Amino acid sequence: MRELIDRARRHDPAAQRALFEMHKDRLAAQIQRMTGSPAAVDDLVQEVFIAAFRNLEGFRGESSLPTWLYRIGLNQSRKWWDSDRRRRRREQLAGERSNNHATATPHEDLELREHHEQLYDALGSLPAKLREAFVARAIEGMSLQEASEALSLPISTVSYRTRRAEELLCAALGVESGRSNGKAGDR
Amino acid sequence: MSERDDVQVDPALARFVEAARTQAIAGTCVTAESVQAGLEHSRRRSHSQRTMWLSAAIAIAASVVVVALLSPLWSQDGEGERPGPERGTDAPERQRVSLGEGSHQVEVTREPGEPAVPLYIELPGRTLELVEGRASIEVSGDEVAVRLHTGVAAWIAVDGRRTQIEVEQVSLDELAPEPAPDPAAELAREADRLLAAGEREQAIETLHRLVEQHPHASQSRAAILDLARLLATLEREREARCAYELYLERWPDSSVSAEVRAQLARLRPAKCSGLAPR
Repeated sequence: MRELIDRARRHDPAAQRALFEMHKDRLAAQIQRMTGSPAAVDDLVQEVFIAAFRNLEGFRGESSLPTWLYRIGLNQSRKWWDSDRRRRRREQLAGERSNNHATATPHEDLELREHHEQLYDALGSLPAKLREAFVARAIEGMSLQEASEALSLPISTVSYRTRRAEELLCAALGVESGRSNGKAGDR
Repeated sequence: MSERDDVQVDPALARFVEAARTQAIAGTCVTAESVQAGLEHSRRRSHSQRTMWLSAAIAIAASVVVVALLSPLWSQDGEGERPGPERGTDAPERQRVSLGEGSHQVEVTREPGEPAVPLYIELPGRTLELVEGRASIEVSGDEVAVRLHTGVAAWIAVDGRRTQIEVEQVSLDELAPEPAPDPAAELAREADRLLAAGEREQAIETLHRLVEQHPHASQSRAAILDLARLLATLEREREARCAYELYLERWPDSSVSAEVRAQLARLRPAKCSGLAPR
């Protein structure tokens, strides 16, 4: 792997291709879970790999390559959320709901889709830092240590931001928190 | 601090998180070739930008040299002098000060019968000309706010353009102008609010206004689809058709154009003039 990265740093196309094929599917899944938008995945995957290969000199091996790619994915996803997110989201939702208008969908699938759409709408209203912590922990299922490395944050900060994101999501989704202690904080 | 490896999501969010975790992953159609092509394009663009900045830097350096060499020719007494506002041959010498970060009170007084001697205050990005009177000046980084309490003052831009400052109005640095209100965004927010409140007829009217009054606004694009969906739900199929057709007319290559065409196939035919059936 180290040799592959070194060759990719030297702009070896075969090495770049190999790294791309090794990591593209995992990155695509992560980006879809970050954004909730299958339509955004291709553009963002491409942007991430272009940024990664342009800045490979900056990868010093202190974290794993997948973690490094995840961080670049976070940056790109943040831009996606910031620019035109409202327009894209409404357009996508309007298109998807229009498509479902004349189609019979199993109720369970429809409910899952509704929950998915509501969650990502609510995630879009969160500050980026809280959203990223919540996605890493709750949706990606990372451990605190993994999330701490991926987000380059102390574990206590990851924990705090995840709790805070949950509070805001409960408010945005109109549900009452099920935690006995509703206060945010390190635990 | 103990580290928890299990993720315990708030129970109230469990069904939402489950939906996100189990979402079908579409995968990616991106290829290594497209990444490499994008990388090459990005390198070429950076190279041309560097070339452009280098050329601009060389041009600026050259003009500074020319000004320095020619400046003795401009001065009447042989000393270098920056060109500024026109003045008569016997006008008093121009006074200049520079102000840094912080709050400043500046006053220029004029003796009766004496000619005005403006004070030129160098601020980030421009010059304030205080002919006479009193002003409060706040400097914070690149931002400047000036309140002219009495007298006559004007901003002088780098290109010499003058903008008079009114007395007792706070004049902010034009580098950070107040954003103009966005009527399209206001209408989009109003439509969202009405939809959320279940006021479909009023939402339809608002979306109509948005689409017709702001056809090129980014909000208009999603608004047409919202409008079409609402109209179809209310079985106003001819109007829905007109909305979908208008969308395709404006954005024929959009990522949802295939879905829009599929919707059109389900709707009653109609001839349209914009959003209205004929």
